[in-house]
Amino acid sequence: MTEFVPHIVIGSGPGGATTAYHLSRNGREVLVLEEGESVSVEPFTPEEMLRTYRSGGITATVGKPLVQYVEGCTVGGGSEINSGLYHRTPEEILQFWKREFGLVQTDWEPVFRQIEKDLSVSLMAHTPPKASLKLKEGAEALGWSAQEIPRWHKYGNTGTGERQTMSKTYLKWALESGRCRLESKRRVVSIGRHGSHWRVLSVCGKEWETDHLFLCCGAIYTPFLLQRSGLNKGVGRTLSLHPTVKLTALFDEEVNDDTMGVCVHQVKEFAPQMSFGCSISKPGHLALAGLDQPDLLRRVDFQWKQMAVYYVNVLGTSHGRVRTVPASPDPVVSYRVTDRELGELAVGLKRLARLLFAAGAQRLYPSITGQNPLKGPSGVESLPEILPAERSRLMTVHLFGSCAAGERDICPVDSFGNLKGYPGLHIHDAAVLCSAPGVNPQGTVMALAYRSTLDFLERTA
Amino acid sequence: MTGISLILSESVAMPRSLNAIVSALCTTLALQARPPEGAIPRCYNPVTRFVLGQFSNTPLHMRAPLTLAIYLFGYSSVLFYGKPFTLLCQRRREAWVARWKAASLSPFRDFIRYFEGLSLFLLYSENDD
Repeated sequence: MTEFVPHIVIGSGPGGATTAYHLSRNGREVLVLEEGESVSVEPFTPEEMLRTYRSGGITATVGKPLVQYVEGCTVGGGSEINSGLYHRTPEEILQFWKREFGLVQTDWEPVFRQIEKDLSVSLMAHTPPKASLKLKEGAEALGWSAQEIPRWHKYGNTGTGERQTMSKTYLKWALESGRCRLESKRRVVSIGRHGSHWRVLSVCGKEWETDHLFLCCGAIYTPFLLQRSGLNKGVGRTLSLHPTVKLTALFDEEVNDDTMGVCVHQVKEFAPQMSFGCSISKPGHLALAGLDQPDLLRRVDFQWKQMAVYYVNVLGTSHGRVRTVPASPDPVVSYRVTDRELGELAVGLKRLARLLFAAGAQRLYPSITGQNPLKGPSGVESLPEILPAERSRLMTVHLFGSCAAGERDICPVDSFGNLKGYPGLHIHDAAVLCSAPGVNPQGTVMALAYRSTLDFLERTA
Repeated sequence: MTGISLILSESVAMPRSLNAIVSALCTTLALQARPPEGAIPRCYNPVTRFVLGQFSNTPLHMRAPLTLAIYLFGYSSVLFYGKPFTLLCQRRREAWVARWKAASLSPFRDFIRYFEGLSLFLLYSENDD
């Protein structure tokens, strides 16, 4: 039997939860379908990987070098697994999107301010981890700009508090409104037009019909679902990402411990072209970095508290593709990392190395197979001018732009998230970002989803 | 490890021969990274369970070639040592892994890296607790 719901949102991540919340608080009846389940696990552990990451976190683009990427697959989506760092979209990026893609601009100030209020975006209430402060120390020594990045995090009196993920904010409030329902463990396999409605089919065979369908499955699964459903007009050909390379630092003092958590400093001297930050640096993560560096691996057991993993990410300028494969329930994602990107990563790696030595690092281990550890500032010059594609280990946690929004013909989606040529079908997730924003994209995703939902409510009042 | 054990009970069933090769490979990699002081410690079993769980989670288009590679890895050792990988002693297993790790063809190296990455991640994460 097919159930009719006026509004269906597929995906409960930042885009989906924001949409569901604003629809329900404006009196609309909403059903949210989520492929993952609601689980409570310790963050940044193997168990979290298995239970809340898509394909257990074992996902990579096709191409040389391959780029490992991760996506959330749980109630709350990526907001449940990321570090919760918040940025507004940089003004120059918004202007670039207006110029190149015809993205209609708006007064973004109240949009961002509302999100920041809703999610308690704030600076850390206690001293940031030492590994994080090392970035600040190194940047100050070189006269570069480094800043503490606020997080969507509600700090209690003890200073620890709780990350304001979607399952604790927008999605929760939408469900509490009584007009929104969530069905988890519902993987949607296809969508299609049926008379004047959109029909949604899940893997378990359950069907729904709706007047308005909001796709919020992320930059990879949104175009994949459209392609599988035969609605592939220009979608999935412009995937963007932030190529990232890591560098592990060994200090002569302790910078890491069991309670380190998320590092909040980023170096923005060269933004938006490139940024430096510090990753989760538990022993398991350090061991992964040790795959390319036997000397590092040997030291993890007894020196891990003196180590932290840092990263350089750059604005991706290439385009990837999302494709279907016959008989496979998963897409193939390709991304050709260009020489320009490899060159910028190499420049970034050298700059980061100089910064970390200025902050007191004793040894640095780049994620390049066969590259010797750097034992002092003079070793920085031994780093390659362009990262070698064969030996470099790249990754990303930021994917977007596979269905770019704007008024130009190259954009399959208009400025307000409506898929062109398909009335009633909307895209409200990272897929609609026009290009790499150069910052953690969740704030941008929520801002675009918020604005598009308000526009939709106005048009359909 | 209860969580991981629980998930594995729900994961895709795999042929016993494939499980045996993956298990032998993970144990070899774990022993290499952290040699035991005495007998093989029990903590290597969760490593194998975690890797098998991740393998069953891997997207189909990656899992299919990976499955072929596992069998190739497991049985091509017969040509060099007269025995499949699972029946080799630790020293010869390590030599076989080293041969694949240093192969001129990148898919061979990537194959070892995939299992080494997962094994070490779990092995060292276990130390957190």
